[in-house]
Amino acid sequence: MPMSKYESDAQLVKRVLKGDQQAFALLLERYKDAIYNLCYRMLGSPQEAEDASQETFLRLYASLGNYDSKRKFSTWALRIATNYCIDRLRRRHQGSVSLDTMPQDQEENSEPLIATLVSDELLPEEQLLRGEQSDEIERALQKLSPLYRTVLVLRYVEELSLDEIAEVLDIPVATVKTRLHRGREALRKALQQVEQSEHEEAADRQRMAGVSG
Amino acid sequence: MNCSQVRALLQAYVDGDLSPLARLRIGEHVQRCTSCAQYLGELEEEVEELAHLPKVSAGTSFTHEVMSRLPQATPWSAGSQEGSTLSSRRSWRWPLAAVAGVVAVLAGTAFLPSGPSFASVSGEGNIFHKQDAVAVPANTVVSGDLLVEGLPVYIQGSVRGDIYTIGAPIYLSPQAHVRQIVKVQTPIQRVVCRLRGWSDQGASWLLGR
Ligand SMILES: [Zn+2]
Repeated sequence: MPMSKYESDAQLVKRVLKGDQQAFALLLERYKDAIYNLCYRMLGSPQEAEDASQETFLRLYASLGNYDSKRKFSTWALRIATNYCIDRLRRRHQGSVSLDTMPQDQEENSEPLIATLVSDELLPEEQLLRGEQSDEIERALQKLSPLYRTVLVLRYVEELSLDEIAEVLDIPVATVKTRLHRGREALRKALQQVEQSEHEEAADRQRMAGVSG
Repeated sequence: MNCSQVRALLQAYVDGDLSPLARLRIGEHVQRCTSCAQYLGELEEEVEELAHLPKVSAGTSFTHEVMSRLPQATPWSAGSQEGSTLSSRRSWRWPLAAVAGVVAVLAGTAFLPSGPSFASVSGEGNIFHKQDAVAVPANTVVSGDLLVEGLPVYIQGSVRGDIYTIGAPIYLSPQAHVRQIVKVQTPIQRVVCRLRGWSDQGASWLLGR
């Protein structure tokens, strides 16, 4: 049976392009967790991660005709997901942050290290589900600006090499290094912030714990 | 190498992004300088923690849900008129058969109106329904369906049936097990009310509209 033998991503893409929609389900199965993890760590809530992952695959499907089979499918998929998550984070900012604190250009130096409003918006609703497993590092990650969060997530959650990150983000490896460096610096600061506000948040958690018993 | 030179390179050291010679030099310095060693320890710990963030997985129905949202015509086939009309109605609608299923299931459930928001559950399992949230706590299994309107839903346990939400954000912990989440539209709500013999007026009161 031809169905039982392993097919490469490129072969599956070819099948989809010929009109075999079921081949897309196989690609979905292969990459849904990688994409979901990325979206979850980028956006910080399961609900948004679910939406963003679905949207990623719908976009991926719609642009499958542009897929260059010489590139790795996983890298291409992560790129679509990353761009979508960054867009989403930026849109989230636009409603609540003035333009001078959240510049539109992606100039390395003008990107604020920490975009505090992101996590402040999420925390009250997130408290309950995070509950006991609430992790300082997770919360600190959510405080980082999209660019820095992206490289850290690609490097340490998706476990990509510097070269692969450069390909996903379409930037030089040297820029990846700079962002990784600054990203970790920002993470240290964010961790300090989280620790500072820990006391207050612990009180909130206790209050919310009443809901989950 | 002095401390400030070492500090400047420690990030690259953690990344494994240094020449063997530079690595060696830094290794030597850290052996005898406790403050740089501590800084390095902090950096490594941070990286460890990032790398050990729990892996989450997309729900088991994820593939099915995406597949059901795909346009039926291939969007990439150039000049296909069919493709453009179909992709314009790409937004997902629950199939009619499933809607009929919702109504049937709800007909036998305890329905607890409490102002403009409500939560109801079919089958076994405890949910917590407070004024500002509904929760399925960890280690709790709801054997049937869960229907919630207008309240955030927090799920840490399992829901074996389907979850229907109306204007209610839903938050799943990575440990949560759910079969399916269906975002219902208001008209379906009204159908439910009709089935339960409530007038449109009653339905509007329930819906707070
Ligand atoms: Zn030193």
